[in-house]
Amino acid sequence: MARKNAARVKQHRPHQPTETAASPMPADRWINFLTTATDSRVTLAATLLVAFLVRWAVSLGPYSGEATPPVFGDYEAQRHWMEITLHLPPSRWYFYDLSYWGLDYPPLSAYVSWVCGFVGSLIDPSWFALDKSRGIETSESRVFMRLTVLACEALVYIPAVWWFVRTQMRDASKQRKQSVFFVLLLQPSLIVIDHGHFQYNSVMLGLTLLAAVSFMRGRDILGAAFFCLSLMFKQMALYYAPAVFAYLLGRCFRQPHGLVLFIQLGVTVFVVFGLHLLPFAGSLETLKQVFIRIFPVARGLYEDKVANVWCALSIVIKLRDWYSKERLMLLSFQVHEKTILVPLLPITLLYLENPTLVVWFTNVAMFSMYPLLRREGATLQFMAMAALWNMLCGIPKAKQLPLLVYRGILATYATMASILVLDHFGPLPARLPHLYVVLNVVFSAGCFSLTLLYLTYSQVMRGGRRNVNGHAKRD
Amino acid sequence: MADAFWRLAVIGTLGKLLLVPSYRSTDFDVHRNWLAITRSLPVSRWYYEDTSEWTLDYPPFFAWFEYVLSLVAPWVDPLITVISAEPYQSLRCILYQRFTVILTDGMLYYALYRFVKEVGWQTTRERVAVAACIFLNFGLVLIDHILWLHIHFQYNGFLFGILIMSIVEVIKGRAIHAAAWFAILLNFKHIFLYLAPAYFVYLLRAYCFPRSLNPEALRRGMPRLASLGAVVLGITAISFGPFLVRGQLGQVLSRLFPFKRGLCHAFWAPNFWALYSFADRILLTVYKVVLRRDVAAPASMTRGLVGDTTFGILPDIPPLYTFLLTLLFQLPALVKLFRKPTARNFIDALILCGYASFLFGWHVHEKAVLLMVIPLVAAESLERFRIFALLSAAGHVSLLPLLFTSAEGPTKVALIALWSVLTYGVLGHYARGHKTSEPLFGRPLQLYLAGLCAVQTYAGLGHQLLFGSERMEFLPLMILSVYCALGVVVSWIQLYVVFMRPASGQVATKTSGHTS
Repeated sequence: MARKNAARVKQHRPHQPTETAASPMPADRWINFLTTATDSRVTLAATLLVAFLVRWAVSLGPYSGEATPPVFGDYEAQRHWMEITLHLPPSRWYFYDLSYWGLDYPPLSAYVSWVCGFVGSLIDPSWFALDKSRGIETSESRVFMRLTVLACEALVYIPAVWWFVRTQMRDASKQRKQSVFFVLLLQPSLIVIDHGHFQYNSVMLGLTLLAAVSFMRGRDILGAAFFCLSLMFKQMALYYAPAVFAYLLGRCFRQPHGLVLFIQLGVTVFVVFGLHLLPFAGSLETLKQVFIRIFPVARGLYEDKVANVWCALSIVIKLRDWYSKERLMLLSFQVHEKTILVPLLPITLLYLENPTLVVWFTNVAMFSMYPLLRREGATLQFMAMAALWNMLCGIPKAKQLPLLVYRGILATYATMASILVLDHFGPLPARLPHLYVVLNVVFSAGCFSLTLLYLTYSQVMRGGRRNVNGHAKRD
Repeated sequence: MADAFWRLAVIGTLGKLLLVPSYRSTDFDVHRNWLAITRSLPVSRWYYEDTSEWTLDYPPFFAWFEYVLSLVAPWVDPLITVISAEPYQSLRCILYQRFTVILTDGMLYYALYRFVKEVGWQTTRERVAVAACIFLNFGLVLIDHILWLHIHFQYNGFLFGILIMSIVEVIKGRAIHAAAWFAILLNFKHIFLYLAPAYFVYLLRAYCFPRSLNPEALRRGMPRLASLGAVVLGITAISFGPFLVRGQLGQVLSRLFPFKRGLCHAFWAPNFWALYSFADRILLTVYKVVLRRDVAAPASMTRGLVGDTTFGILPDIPPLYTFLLTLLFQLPALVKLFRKPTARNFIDALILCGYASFLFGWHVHEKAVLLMVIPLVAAESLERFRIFALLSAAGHVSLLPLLFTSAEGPTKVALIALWSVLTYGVLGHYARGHKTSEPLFGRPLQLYLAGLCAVQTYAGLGHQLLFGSERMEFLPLMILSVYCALGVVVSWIQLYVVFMRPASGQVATKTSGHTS
């Protein structure tokens, strides 16, 4: 990295996908069909409408903790936060009745909850009446809650993906851009978690993506601000923090005016965090409580939501160092099912380079979420979304891949299919009530580790070759 | 092309699967009850059973169809096939019934595949475009999978599949096959009787007496007439014969043709009678407010009651008049078809028969608009495409109020938006052909469509914001019906003009492609 000279910084261009590398998939054909018939605005409208319809259709299904009093689930947690942020001053947000879904997300989440609660109360105040609205599940309030997720995604994640596609594929054809956009929007894991299970991950992921695209465009300060927003929305973004930190630090060292950049970044981070924490700065105790709530380490693992981490997988994710085009960052962490979305985002972005890997990894990620979705009664949505995704991306063909890889993919699919079939129809030994869940976890963990090994290997190989050649290969 | 069809079918099916948790209307209970009746009673009791108010009132083939579906049902949930007065809706029952609809829709996919192959578009791309637009046909998705609303339309994909199979046979020139398919269709659902005049005229003229009508030709056509009659009567005998033998025919027919219902459906279908009722309302207001005369107000028509319809000022309409009017307005199209019995003219006459029955028929339901929309989707000139755009926009928007639950609000708006984008964007492109400089729609049509958006926004959202959900709740429905009725009537007149023009219909369908 240090060998990189200033001249190369100037000619820096984002990755160009090689058009030949990607064989046409069904989604390509569909977009080609649309764009030859119409102008690209129609294609874009159709893509967005399909994305909307799929999300809405998934959200017609069950959600986390539906009709399970007295505690309910993630849905009720989010709704409850809208209720308390709307009716209480910020100084009490992180203190109010902690045993019933006490607020434990960072302030930006709370502010967004306030906006949602405010708009919802304009329509029907009973949806967010303090204490009285606990566990409310009327069909109208349900529709409103689902629509807030859609609105947040439409405001943050979808523009972020579009910006990413335009940045990463600057020289690609319009059609190719549209079809990658289409595929990325129909990534099933995020849809079933956000619109089925009920969460607002798309905001956190979208803000992180905006940060990444900003870095790709060389706008480090903007990127840092976006990433701070992401952290302020959901602490899960911390998993990305080492990569972002390392990247920005590297920039500071390599830039001619590194110190200036360093100070600018510091001020940015300070201002963004400061603004978010300002309403809580009234007393030191409030501020302390915010941190205690946000970081579960400080309060032990006694709460249902966190204790729900039924299994700890060791997953290592890698993020790409977008600036130097080297894959730099590895970090490991403990997760529960939904956290797979964190590594899934950067891996999905590798779609342009290695679609086979992305499709396969998404399938495994979906598979790993199956026990969660099954518990909620969302098997139908799970199956339909997985099928739709593979329909769009196409099933791998033997002649396009090395034989070993092809067979490996088939073997994993066969294993996953048999575990699903057994889980659904097979006998469950009385002494091993969690047999299939454990099988699922072990298998998924194996696949994820394999992915990690492969990505690390290819990164090291690529880095090594570059060091020898002294130039990036793809320019 | 078969590959693309498979994909479309699979994507359509996945979409329907995702919509399984949507709202279910009483039609769901109707069909659940029919499964129970056909499964647990002997054939002789089918048309007498009345434990539930949802009695069997479709022709015998449909009853047998329910019987076949009911064979598997007990394995899914034994209670599905138990007759009960109360509705029964377990999760397994919902899944099973939804799956039967999705599976039988395969008939529509297959029929469309054949239809699109026969009709003369040049490229695969265009064929798939047309097929996609029919597949994604907003009305079908809406009705089969979300609505189940009214007794008339159910398993529509399957039934329209049979209709299209019959049309394909006409295009291929196989009259006996066409007649057989249509006879089967009639024995599934008798509402298609409205289309029978077009079949009758076409088969008589094109198959039995193709050349001239002198006595010699008539005599030579007799064997063909006899074979045609034998096929149709034979199929009907298989269907109704068992009931005839038991002396139950009268009972069956009384179930099939109830005349207790009113002229207009609970929601006004956008047809001539909606305009008639609206004119009556206007006159009533004029009498009361301007002339200050006292007129006995009629029982309200739009209160959601299925009963007798009475008018304040204008004369009441007995059922017979509606049939006479329907026949009268079918007549010009039939005469033209009689004189020039080509396949192209047959399809047009079929659409016009559908129009006449929709506009002037007794107790017409909004969903019947599909009778015209689906055959007309094969519009291959700009002129026809504009008619199609007008009819389908008006027809589809008039269906929107049927889905009134809040969760279906985003679904219906997004579906109709996607449908419009695909239809106007993709199909319009092909309809325009090389004349890319010409605008897709003329000024009046643009204005009408803009107005349609405004009216729908008012009916769907604005009225509630202005007046709340309690006051004048039927006003928006009335405005929507009347506005849509205007669109349907204008599109009907336009199509009639195009059809009756001497130049039209000279070109055979299969060989020459574009008629523009």
